[in-house]
Amino acid sequence: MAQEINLVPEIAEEEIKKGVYRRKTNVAALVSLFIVVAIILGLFGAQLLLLLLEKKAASDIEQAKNEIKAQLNKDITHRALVEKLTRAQDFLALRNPYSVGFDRLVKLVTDSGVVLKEVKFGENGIVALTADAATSTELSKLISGLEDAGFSKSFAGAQLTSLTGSVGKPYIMTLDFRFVKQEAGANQKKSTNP
Amino acid sequence: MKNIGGPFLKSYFVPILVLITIIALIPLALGPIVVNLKIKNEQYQEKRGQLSQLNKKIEDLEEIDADKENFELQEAEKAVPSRKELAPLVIGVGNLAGKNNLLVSEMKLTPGKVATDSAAAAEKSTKPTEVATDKEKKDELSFKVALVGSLENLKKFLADLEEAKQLLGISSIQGKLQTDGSFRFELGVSAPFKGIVSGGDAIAKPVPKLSDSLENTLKQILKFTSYTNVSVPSVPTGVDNPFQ
Repeated sequence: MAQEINLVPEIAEEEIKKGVYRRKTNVAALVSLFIVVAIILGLFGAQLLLLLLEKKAASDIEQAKNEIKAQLNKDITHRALVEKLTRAQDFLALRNPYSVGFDRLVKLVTDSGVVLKEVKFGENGIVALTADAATSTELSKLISGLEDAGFSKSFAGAQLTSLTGSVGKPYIMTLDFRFVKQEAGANQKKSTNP
Repeated sequence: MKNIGGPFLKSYFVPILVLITIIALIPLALGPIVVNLKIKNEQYQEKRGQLSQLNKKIEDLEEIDADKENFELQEAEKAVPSRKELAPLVIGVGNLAGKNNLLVSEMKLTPGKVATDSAAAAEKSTKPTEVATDKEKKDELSFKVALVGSLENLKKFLADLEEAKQLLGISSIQGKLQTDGSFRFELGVSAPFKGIVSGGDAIAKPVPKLSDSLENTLKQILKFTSYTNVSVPSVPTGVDNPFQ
C-alpha cells in the first residue's frame, strides 16, 4: 500500500484548500445567480407566450363573434321559440282540465235525473252545486253517483251543505266538493308524452 | 485582535454579491413577474373559456334549421302571442261559442290586466296592493265572458277551448238555470302572452336547449285548432275619428 507523503508544509495546504473553497463558492454562487436569472427569463418568456396566446384568443373571439352575428336571426328565432314554448308549457301545466270535470258533473246530474239549478267552479277549486230532486230516488242516485269511481277522479271531499224538502215540492240541495287538480297534471303528462 | 472582516469579505466578495443580488431580485423582479403571470394566465383561461363557449354556440347555431324554426315560431306565436292583443282573442272566443251553439251575452275586461305597460306603471304608484296581485299574472290576459246555452254545449265549448291554438285557460265557471230552461254561464278566461326579452349580450349567451318536453309542447300546439286567426284592421291613433 502506497504511503501518502505530504511534501507541502501545513500552512500552505490550508491556503490551497481556502483557494479551492473560494473558487467553488464563487462558481456555486454564479451558478445560482444564473439559475435565478434563467428562472426570471423563463417567467418573462412564459408571460410573453401568454400575451401572444391571449392576443390570438382575442382575435379568435372576434372572428367567432362575427360568425355568430352572421347567424343572429337564427339565434333570436330560436331563443324566442324556446321562451314561448316554456311559457306555453307552464301555462298548460297549470291549466285545469275543466272540460273533463264538467263532463263528469253533467253525467252525474243527467244520470241521477236531478235538475241542476246553479253550478260554480271557483278559482280556489271549490265547486258548489245547487240542484232540485223531484223524488228521493233521484236524490239517492245523485248521492251514490258522488261515490262513483269516475266522478271521484275529478272531484273529492263531497259535502251536502243543505237539503230542504217539503210536501208537494222538490228537494233542494246544495253540494260542495273540491275539483281535483292533480288530474290536470296527469292529463298534461299524458298529452305531452304520447 | 486580528481583524477577519476585511479578508473574509475580500475572499467571498462574489458569493456575497450574488446573494445580495438574488435577495434583491426575488421581491423586486420575481414577485411581480409571478403575480403578473398569474393574472395573465387567468385572463387567458377566461378568454379560452369564452372562445370555447362561442365555438359551441356556432356549432349549435349551425345545427338549427332556420326555415323549420321560423315556421315553429309562427305557430308558437299563435299559441302565446308577443303582445296583449285582445281583439283577436275576443273574436276567437266568439267563434268558439258560435261553433258550439252558445250565445255570447256579455264580455267583461278586467281593468288593469289588459292595460298597456305604461298604464300599469302609472297605476303602481296609486294602488300598490292591487298591482302586486296583478304582477303575479302580468304575462296573462284575463277577461270574463257570459254565454247562454245548454250544459252539453258548454261541455263541448270547454273541450274545444282546451284545444284552441291560442292557449286559453278557464279560471272560474258560474252557471245558472234561467226561466226559459237555458243556462247562463259566466266564465273567467285567461290567455298567456310572452314578449321577446331583449337585453344583455345576446352574442355571448349560449343557445337555449329545446328540450324534449318543449318539443312535446310544440307537437301538442301544432295539433290544436286556431280560432283566433283573424286579422283586425288597425286604425290611426291620436285622432278625433279613427274610422275616417
